[in-house]
Formats: sequence, C-alpha cells, structure tokens
Amino acid sequence: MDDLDREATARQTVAYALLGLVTIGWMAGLVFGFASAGGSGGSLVQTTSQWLVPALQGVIGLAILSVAVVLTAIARRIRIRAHVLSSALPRLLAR
Amino acid sequence: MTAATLTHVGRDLAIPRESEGFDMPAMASKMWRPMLAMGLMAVAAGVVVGAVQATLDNSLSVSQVAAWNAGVLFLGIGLLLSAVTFLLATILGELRDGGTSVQEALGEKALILKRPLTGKLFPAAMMMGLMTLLAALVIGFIQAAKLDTDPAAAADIAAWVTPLRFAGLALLFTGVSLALATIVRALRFQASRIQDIAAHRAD
Repeated sequence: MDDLDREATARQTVAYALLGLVTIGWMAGLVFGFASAGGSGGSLVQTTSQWLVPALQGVIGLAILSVAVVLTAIARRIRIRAHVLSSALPRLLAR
Repeated sequence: MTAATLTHVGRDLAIPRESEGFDMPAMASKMWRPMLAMGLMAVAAGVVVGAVQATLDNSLSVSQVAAWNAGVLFLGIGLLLSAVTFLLATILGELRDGGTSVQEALGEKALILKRPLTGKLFPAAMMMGLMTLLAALVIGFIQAAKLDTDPAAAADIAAWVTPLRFAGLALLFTGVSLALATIVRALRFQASRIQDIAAHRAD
C-alpha cells in the first residue's frame, strides 16, 4: 500500500511538471504569434506560420499526456481506497 | 450464456460479479500504454516535420508537407485521447474490483453495476473517432499527391478533410465524456450498495 501511495504521489508530481511545460508552451506560442503578426524579428519569427501550429499541437499532446498521468494516479488512489474500506468497514459495521 | 439475475440497487441495476461477460477494463489496462506511446511518437514526429517544413524553400513542397502533416498530428492527439479513454475504462475496472473486494470483506454477495448504455457506447465512439482520424491521414496523403497534378481537386479535398479531422476529435471527446458519465454511475452505485448493506445490517 505504501508503494501504491508513493507511485500515486510521484505521478501527481510528474503531471504538475507537465502542466508547467504546457503553460510555458502556450505562452511561448502566444509570444511567437504576436511577434509574427508584428512582421519583425529573425528567420525563426519569419517562418512562424509554418511551425507554430504543429508546435502548439505538440503542446496539446503534452496537456493530454498530463491528463493520462493524473488518471493513472487516480487508479492507484482508488485501489488504496478499496483496500482501506475492505479492512475498516467490517470493523465499523460489527460495532 | 445464462441470463444474469438483475437486482435493483438504489436507482441502478446490478448483476452478480461472476456473471459479467467481456472484461473490457482488463483489455483496456493492457492497451493504454501502447496507445500513449504511439500517440507521443506521432505528435513528436508531427512537431519535427513542422520544424523541417519551415526550412523548405519550394512552396509546393511546403504545401504538400502541410497537407499530410496535419493528419499525423491529429492522429497523434487521437491516439493520446484513446489512451485517456482506455485509462478511464481501467478506472472503471478498479472501481468494480474495489467494490467487489469491499462487499466480499463484509460477507455480502458481490454485485456490480450492470453496464449502462454510456458504458456500451464509449468504446464505440472512441473507435469511430480513431478510424475517422486514420482515414483523414490517408486522405491527407492523397491531397498532397494531387497538389502537383490536380490542384483544384486538392483544394476540394482540403475544404472537407479539415472538418473530418475535427469530427474525429469530437467523437473521441464524446467517448471520454461517456466514459466519465459511466464513472459517475459506478460511484453512485457504490454509494447505494454501501447504504443497502448498512440498512440490511441495521434491520
């Protein structure tokens, strides 16, 4: 059960880290979008229209990955909950 | 196959654990990892191709890559959403098995929620969404090939293939939503079952 708890906590931490990346990703996307609209900047900004949408779809991919990681943590928490209820409920109902 | 005995638990119908047919959560618990891996690879490939596309000088090549790369990225996102759907099915399995173990610990007959309509529909919605995105990927390659030989036909394809991709995504989100609705039903069933057992013991 301690292993399950540790796994769930680790996965929650990974999900938070992924969400941090996602936040940085969409903010960078907005900055590049505005820079591209301004028409100034180097070659990276000049070609923004070609790579920005695929890159932002990559950010959406990361966001979905964070959802998946959180769901694996929830699955473990449900297993812990079932274990706790299985041991506690019979004692409570026997009172 | 013998018909399962139906029991009313709260507002839901329940069947004995042993009379459940196809074990969808067991299959889902094996499938989510490959789906997630394939989705991550497809999205990563799409992002790299997008970066390479930005370095191309030939405008025809740029248009051709743009025509099929969108399909790769949408399929990647679709595979990731399929992994999420499979994980939700895994959670349903955890709820079912956890509920069974609690009932057995209480010395009661293990009842599980009779699979509701949402539980039957979400795998179908997910598969339809994935098939749609796969078809859109193939059509993207056809569109890219036609850009060179028949640009008018390629423009026609471009007009409807993008909505087709979004339709595929919408079906996948429908599957996720239906799976979440099934989880809500499973949680309500478990609360009702515990109340029934407690009331039975109190009598």
